[in-house]
Amino acid sequence: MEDMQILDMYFSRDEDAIAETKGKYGAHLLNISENILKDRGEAEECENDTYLRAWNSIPPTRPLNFFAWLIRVARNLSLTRLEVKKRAKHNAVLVELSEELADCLTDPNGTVETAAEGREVERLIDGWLDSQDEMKRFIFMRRYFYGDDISDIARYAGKTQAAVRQILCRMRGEIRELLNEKGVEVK
Amino acid sequence: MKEINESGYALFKKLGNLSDTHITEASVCPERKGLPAFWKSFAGIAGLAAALALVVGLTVLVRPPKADPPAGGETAESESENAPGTWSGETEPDPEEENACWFLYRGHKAVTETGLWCISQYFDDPDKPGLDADGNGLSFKLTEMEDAPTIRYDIHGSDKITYYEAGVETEKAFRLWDSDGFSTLDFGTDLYAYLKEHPGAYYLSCDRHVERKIDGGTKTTEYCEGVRLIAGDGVPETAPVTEPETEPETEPETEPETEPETEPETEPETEPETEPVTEPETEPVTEPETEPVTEPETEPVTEPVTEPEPPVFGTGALPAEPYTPLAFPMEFHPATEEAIAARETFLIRDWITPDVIPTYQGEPYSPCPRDLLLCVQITNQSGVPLPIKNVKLTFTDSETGKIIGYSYSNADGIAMMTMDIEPFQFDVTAELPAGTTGYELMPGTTKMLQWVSMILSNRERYSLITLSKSTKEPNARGVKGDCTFQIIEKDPYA
Repeated sequence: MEDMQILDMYFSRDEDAIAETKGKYGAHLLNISENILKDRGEAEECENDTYLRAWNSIPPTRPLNFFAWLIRVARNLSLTRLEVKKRAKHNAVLVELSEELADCLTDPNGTVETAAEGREVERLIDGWLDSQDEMKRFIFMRRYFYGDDISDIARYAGKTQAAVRQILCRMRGEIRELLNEKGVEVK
Repeated sequence: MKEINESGYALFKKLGNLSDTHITEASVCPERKGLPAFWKSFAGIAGLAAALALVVGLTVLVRPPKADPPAGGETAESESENAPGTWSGETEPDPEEENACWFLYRGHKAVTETGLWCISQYFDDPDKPGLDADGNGLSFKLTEMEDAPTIRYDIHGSDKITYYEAGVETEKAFRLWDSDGFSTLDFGTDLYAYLKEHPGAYYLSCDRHVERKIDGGTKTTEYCEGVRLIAGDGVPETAPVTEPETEPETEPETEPETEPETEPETEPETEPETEPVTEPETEPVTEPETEPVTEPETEPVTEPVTEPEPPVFGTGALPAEPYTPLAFPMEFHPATEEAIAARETFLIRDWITPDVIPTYQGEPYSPCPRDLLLCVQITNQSGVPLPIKNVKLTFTDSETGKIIGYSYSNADGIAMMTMDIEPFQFDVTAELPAGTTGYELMPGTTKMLQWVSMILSNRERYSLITLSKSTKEPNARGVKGDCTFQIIEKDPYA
C-alpha cells in the first residue's frame, strides 16, 4: 500500500492504518530501536510507541515522507527511553557512536552548540552528504542515523569492516573540516 | 565504566534531523558497482587473466616524483583500460590528498598474472598516523575486481615503514599482510624466505618507504617509493597462466603494444631510488619476459594444485570452505635476542587459525611478549572437543561492547586469538559456518557451544576465569552461542 493511502487511513481514523504501517515499515522501526537499545523487548515497545505517536499525531500532521518521519520518531523515542532511564550515559552503542562523532567536532570536550547553530550543522551536513557518492552516504547514514554495527554495514555494503571504518573515519574528518571552514561554532 | 561523549552524543541526536531524502535513501542498500557480464563468468575471467598475464606478465607500479602523475599507475591503468571489463569505480587517486599514497589508493588497477586486480582499500587513520583504523598499522587491500569470481586471494603485502614520534624513530618493520589484507603480520627480514616456502602464493611486494614525522601531532613528511606486483613462486589453480607452453600462444595479441613501452619506463626509476637493501636478490625480476624464467627454479608446478579454495573476503559472508592460512614457522626458538626481535611483532588478528598452532616447547606460543595468545577449543556440553572448522569466534570487550577481534577455528575446532595483555573481561561469541546448525554438528545436544575452553599462554602471569557459559538456545539463525571470560593477573605473592 502506498504511503498516501496509509496516511489517508490515519486521517479517517482507520485502525488498520497501524497494521499497514507495521507491515510496511515495522522491520525498519524495530531495527533502529534495537540498534540503539540493544534490547529486543524494549525495541518492540518503542516500535509500538512509534505507532501510537503516529496515531496521535496524524492528523493533523501529514508527513511528506512518511517513512522518514516514522523512523525519526522511533529513533528519538529510543534515545529518550535511554535518557529517561538514565542509561544513555553508559550505553555501549552510544558510547561508541558518540566517541566517533566527537571526531567531527573541533573540541570534542566542549559544550554543545545552541539550537539555532544546530540547524546550521544539520543543513551543512545534509549538503555535504549530497556531495558524497551513494555508497558513502549509505554507510554514513547507516552508522550515524540508523546506528548499525560496522559489521552489519560492511555486510550490506559488500565491504570489509576495516574499509567501512576507514570510510567513516575519512568522512568524519571531512565534516570536521567543513564545519571549521564554514565557521560554524561547534564547540 | 565508559561514558558517552556529550558533544558527540549531541551531534548524534542532531543527525536525526537530516533530510528525509538521505534517511529514505539509506533504508535500501545501494547497488554495488557491478561488472560486465563477461567478468561474471569464471571462464571469462580466467581466460582473460591468462591473456593478460601473457600480455603483461608483470606490471610494476613505480612512484614518480610526487607532483607527477604516477608512471607505473598509468601503465597499469592504460593497459587495463584496453581490456574488457575495466573497472570503472572510484575516483582517480589524488596525490595531494592527506594520507594518500597514490599507488595504494582506491581504484588503482594493476594487471598481474592472475588477471586484473585493483587496490581497493587503503587504510590509514589520520588521527593516528602510522596506524589504521584497527590500530594494526598501515594496511591496504588488494582485491580482484569487484564482483568478479574469485581467482585467488592469496595476495600479501610487505612494507617497510618507518615513522617518528616527536622526532624519534619508533618503529621499523617489514610488514606482511595476510590474504584478507587486514591482519598484519610482521616478518622481519624473513619475508622473502617465507614467501619462497609457500608456492602458490602471489603477493604484493611494496617497497615503499613511508616516513612520518609527527611533531605535536602534525605530520610533516610522508613519502612513498613505490609498489610493485610480483608473481609469487607458484601458480594458482585457477589461473594457471605462467606455464611456458601457453605463453607464446596468447602473447602476440597484445603484448607488443603495451608492455615494451611501460615496463622499461617505470622500473629503472624506482630501483635505484628505493633502498635495495630491503630487496633480497631473490626478488623476482619485474620484467615480464624474465619472470617466468625465474619462477620455475623455486617451485614445482604441481604444488599449487593442492591449495584449497580461498575464502571470499569482503562479502560479509563466512568462507564456505576455510582456506588454510599462511603456514608459519610453527616451532619458534626464541633463544637469541635477534630471533626474539624478529618474531616479536608477530601478531595474529582477525584471522583464520592455522591447523597447526604455533608452539614453543610444546605449548601454544605467541612470540610477542606483550600479547596473550588465547586458543579457544570448541567443545560440546560434556567438554568433548568438537573439530568444527571455520567457526567464527568473535571476542568482544564486555565493558565497551567493542569487538577486539575475531578468528576462525581450524580443523581441530581451535581458534586462536592474540590480544594485548590487560586484565579485562571479554565475551566470546561463536558463529557456525553459514548453512550449518548447532543441532547438526552436535547430535544429542540442544545447546550450542556451551563449551569454550581456553588455553592461555603466559599462564605464569595470567589466569582466565570463566564468568558465564552460554545457556542460550541457538537463536533464529541457529548458530550463535556466547560466554564471558575474564583475564586476571596473578598475585605474584600468592
